[in-house]
Amino acid sequence: MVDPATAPDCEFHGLSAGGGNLAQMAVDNSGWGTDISVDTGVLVESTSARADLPGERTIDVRVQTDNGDSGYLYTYGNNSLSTSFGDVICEVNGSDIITYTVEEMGGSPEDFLISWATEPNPLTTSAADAYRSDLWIHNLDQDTWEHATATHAVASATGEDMVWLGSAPGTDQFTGVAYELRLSRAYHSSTETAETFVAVSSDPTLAGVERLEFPVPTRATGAGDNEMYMGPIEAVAAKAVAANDLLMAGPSINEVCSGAFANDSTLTMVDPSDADFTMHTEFLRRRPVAPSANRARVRVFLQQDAVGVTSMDVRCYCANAPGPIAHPSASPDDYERYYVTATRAADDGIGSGGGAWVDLGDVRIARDIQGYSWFWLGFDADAIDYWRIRAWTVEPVQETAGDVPGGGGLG
Amino acid sequence: MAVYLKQSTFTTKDAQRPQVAPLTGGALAKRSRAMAVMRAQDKTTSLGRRVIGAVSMAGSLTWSVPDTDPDNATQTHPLTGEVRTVHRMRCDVTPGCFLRLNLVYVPSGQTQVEVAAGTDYDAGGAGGSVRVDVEWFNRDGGSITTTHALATLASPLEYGASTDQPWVDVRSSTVLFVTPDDVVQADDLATWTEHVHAEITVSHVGGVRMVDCSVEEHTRTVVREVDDDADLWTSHMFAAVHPDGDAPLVRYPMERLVDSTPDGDPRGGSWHTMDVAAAQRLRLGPQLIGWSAWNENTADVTDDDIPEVTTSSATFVRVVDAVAGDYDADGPGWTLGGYARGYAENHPYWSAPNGSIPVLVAVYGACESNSAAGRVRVQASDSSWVEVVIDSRSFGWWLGYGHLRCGVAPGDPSTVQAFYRMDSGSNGLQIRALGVYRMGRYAPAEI
Repeated sequence: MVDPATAPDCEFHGLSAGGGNLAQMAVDNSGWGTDISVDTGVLVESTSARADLPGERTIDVRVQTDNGDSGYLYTYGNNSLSTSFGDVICEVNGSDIITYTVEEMGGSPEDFLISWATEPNPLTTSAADAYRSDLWIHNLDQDTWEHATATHAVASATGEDMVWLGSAPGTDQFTGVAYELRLSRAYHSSTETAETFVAVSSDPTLAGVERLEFPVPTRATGAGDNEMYMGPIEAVAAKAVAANDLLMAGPSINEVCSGAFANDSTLTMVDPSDADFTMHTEFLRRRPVAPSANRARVRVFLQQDAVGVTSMDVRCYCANAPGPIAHPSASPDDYERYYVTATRAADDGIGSGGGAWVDLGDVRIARDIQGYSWFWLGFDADAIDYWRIRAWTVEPVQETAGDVPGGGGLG
Repeated sequence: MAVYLKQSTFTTKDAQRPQVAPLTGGALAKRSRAMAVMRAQDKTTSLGRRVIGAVSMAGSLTWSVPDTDPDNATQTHPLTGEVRTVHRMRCDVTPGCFLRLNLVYVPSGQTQVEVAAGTDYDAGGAGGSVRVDVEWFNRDGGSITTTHALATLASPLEYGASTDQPWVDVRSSTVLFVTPDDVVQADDLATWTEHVHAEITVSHVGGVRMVDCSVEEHTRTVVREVDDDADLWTSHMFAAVHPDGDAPLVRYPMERLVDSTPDGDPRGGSWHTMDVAAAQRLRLGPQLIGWSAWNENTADVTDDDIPEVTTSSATFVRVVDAVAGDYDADGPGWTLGGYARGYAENHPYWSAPNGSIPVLVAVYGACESNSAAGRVRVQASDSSWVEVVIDSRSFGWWLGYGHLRCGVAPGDPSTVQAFYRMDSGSNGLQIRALGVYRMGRYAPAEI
């Protein structure tokens, strides 16, 4: 897991490895290193400046509890996160915005991660719904996730005490066992929460370049004002604009397919340049590909079935015209066609739920005179009796390596 | 007096990567080096080609328009001129872009005219068209509806039969500019290039046999009025006419070209460079999913709108095929791109193996009964989903905002599946279309 205390927006992080030790949890592991106090069964920081987060923030609590427990987990004025006999309650400005009955909380104590994340609501229509909150509850023993959401006004409390595991010293104390507490300044998505508190995913093998926003200071920082050096601003802006070249590059093909078995298709033609493959009109598409991309990553969800035979080839073509017998214009462009092929060896049966993803890899991109690319699928099914495509994705890729994957070329 | 800045980006398709080293410490300050950054900011919005939505054969093997004699006692073919909706989409249009309608088809079949309802139909002639109706919403609260259409060739075969050589007979056609009316003058262009909202309907008219149809964005023109809000400047608008055109004289370094309010020219300095960088990350991102329940195999020629998928289940079932009720990363689904990841949501301290992006999920649906409610869940991992609640009998768009797990880049696959269920009430929950796109924390032109 990622160390939750090292997050740059962490305002407070308390940990009791064995659970329930308030003195241990009072030690602040965040970068601030400002410990808080134990007072009559709760943790308190009086008139807490770091907890004065009226808008965006995230509260994470890891506890052992069951539906017989109750009490407050976090309190800042009349804003709180609490439990009540199987319910988890989020309160903003004295009103309960979420009261969620946890489905996976029973009569026996289990470990739960409770995360309450708040951010501005882009769909706001008035001050009353200017913010939105996500409540994610993860049963760490059962590995289940639950979620509730609500919109609300900005939290109005200020200059209040930050209280953990109660609403005040000696009041509304949480009756379960707390292990870990964290207050963060930013909104954290559930994906981030899972990576931080549950398990870190394994590193993927990527195709092409990776992109992540390169942050630029806002004007409000004053970094671009007169009497400041201009070079640094232009330098980071140069980095940012270079990282934005694929910002809008979404999938060119992103579809789930009908249940028909493609082996029944009559909308086909044998590939004149490779008689092993039959091309299917029902999988012919003309789509644009982001101009910053020079490859397209192709995946299909393939189901196949035949007695005693398991192997079939799938090919994705990309060309500047729809196949070798397309209608040429009076002065046609050179015919340009590329393809990638993959083999899958599995017998899925013909049930409604079979199949698996096949990653065909990256195909070079050919574009017609209007900038569109023609994609289609072909199959070398040999003795496979039944097969069908249940999903098909083509995503733009910017590949920097010099190799040329797949086959094809100028015709 | 309004002062407009206009750039044509129609032919722009190359990203620029301004050099960083000459702008760092110890390097000689030169105007040209800063100008390269501003010019590069003008090219970002032209690099999208976002596919807003698509409807295709999607593996269907038969045409809904039959090969049979249309002179019949029952309706077997579409009625001549009747509009049959096959897809609905919504998006916030990338500033500077308008839409295109792209069609791949084989020659169209016959239609019918109704002589006596339910008892007598005559041949109405072969042929048809695909049309796109767009309701555009601008940031001033105005809206306008436009209609564009593509006529298809008619089948020359008896009864308008479908070709037995689809690879030979496949055709393509494109409406290059699906735009609001009168986007010629600068003030109109300013109104319709300020991150407007579009609700799109694609329909068949006549005996269309469509292989693939998509609506996508294409860059054209961007106009800004100098007093526009800072977060609307997704382009720097530095050079005149087009991003590689003549540039104004920048007295490097300075904050802006004309430092007066109102009607000061914000271009050319560090303030505006920072604003544009922020606006691009705020407002630009990919369109991810645009699904329609329409199916060429099963659609009936009498359907005048998308035949909805329906569930009355109190537990989640998959929208597409109702096979499964639980998310399965190894099952069929859509994908989410990984190029739009923001820094704050994907801080390097945790995000090396994973990604997350903010999305808007839009569902075109309804409940079959009054006082009923259902929900649609779009799920990208065991711990990442966004839900949309639907509680009306009237078909319409229902929205949900949240954050979905995405890949780090292509090669890191993401699988997205949609589920739906009834929460309360009787009968079922109906869905005709579903869309997902990346949405930053900006106020959209229309909710």
